[in-house]
Amino acid sequence: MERPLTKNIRPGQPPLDLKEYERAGGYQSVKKCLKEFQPKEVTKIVQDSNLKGRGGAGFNTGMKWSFVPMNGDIKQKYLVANADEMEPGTFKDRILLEGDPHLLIEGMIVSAYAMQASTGYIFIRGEYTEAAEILRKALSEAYNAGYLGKNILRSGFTFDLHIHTSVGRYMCGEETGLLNSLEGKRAIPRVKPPFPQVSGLFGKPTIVNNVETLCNVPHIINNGPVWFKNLSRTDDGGTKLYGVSGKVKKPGAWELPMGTTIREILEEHAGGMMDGVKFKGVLPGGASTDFLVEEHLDVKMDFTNLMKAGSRLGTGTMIVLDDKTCPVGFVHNMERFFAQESCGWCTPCREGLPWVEKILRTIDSGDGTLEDIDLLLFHTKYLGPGNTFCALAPGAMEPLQSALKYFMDDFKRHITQRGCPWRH
Amino acid sequence: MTKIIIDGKTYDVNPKKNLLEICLSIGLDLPYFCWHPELGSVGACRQCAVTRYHDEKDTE
Repeated sequence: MERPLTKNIRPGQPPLDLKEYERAGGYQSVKKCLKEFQPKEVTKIVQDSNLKGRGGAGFNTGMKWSFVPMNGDIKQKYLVANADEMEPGTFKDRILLEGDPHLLIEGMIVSAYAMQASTGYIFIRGEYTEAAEILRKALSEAYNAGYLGKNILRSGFTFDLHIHTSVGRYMCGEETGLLNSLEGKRAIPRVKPPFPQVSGLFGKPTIVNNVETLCNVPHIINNGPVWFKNLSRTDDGGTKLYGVSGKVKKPGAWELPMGTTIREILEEHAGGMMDGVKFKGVLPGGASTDFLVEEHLDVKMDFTNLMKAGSRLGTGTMIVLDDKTCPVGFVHNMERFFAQESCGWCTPCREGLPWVEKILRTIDSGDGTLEDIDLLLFHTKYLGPGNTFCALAPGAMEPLQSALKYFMDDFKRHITQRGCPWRH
Repeated sequence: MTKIIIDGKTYDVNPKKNLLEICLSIGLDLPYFCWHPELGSVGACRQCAVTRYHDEKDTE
């Protein structure tokens, strides 16, 4: 089984330096693109590979690039790598950043060439200090070797790449919030349209892509779109970095074919549940995805199939809920995070999420009433898609609405027993 | 000018203006907070939100 994303990663050892990376076939895709392909051809290859954005939304990456104006009048365009990985339970981009920094840089050069961007930024989460240090070293190696800067490999193409360390807000992971933050403004979302592909950073055409997405690009260029599609077990192309956290025997992350089932990841790779606890539910792609339960274990983990099952692939890193953990407390913990991370720009999210958090706290402590459940259900509709500027509040409602669907009895037990059954 | 139906009544309005401005200019009492004619449309407070229907048959 091929593992293009993680083939160079050696756990517990420093990442490959430039020489080692080149020996392992690194930067071939840059040479190939600059020599053989027009920018539009690169976009077409990526579009044909059916690479979908790995940040959570799952939009076709090549299609996103194709919205960038290419008529030569626009001198300044930007490419941004979204490395502000802050989704609870998610740690996949960190593995790539710390394990193989040159792969991201290579992916960014090729992507920048496709959209003819002259400047790029790696927007990295503030807490990822080790990754930022590793990237800085790799960046200077790439500059010295002529892969970055003016006239790359004497092709006439110029691309400057910078590292921007964020101060850490969940909101900065949202595309337009990230762009505001990068401009030095408060991280709040922008109205769309105009989309960043047309008017993004400093009003110029901008593409924001997730780290894992960009890391796939060099391999697609080297091996072709058909190869990439064949890596997958479903229609969504490629491999995926899947992760598992929770009370399993071996929590961790693995690169597996897209479309591996939840059961296979949980039982074969994560070693199954710890002794003495049973599986109760799972958030398949981080905190802002809907719970799935036992009946969904054979669902294939890709964008299309998880959507059909009533959830989302999100970041592909699952959080497992077991029978010894209180689901109300579990959801309360997450809603507290979302309420704190709401940027405060639009009212439903700023006011609604703290109320949701307070109601859940009341139910968890035994002072809840049955009307509180109706109030929670009301909020899941009122903070749903279409009522807010960005996806933060609708995302926050996904674990809540599905918890109310699958674990309603547990919510009611808290109210009728006037306390948390798990604490007694 | 374009036709718009609010609460069952038809109005001829300028399609270039935003809906809040139109509602206020024809004398409807629509509560608002984050909008000011000199500052343009923000849409963050959600106070003036109304339900939009596609046509007479659309009742959802």
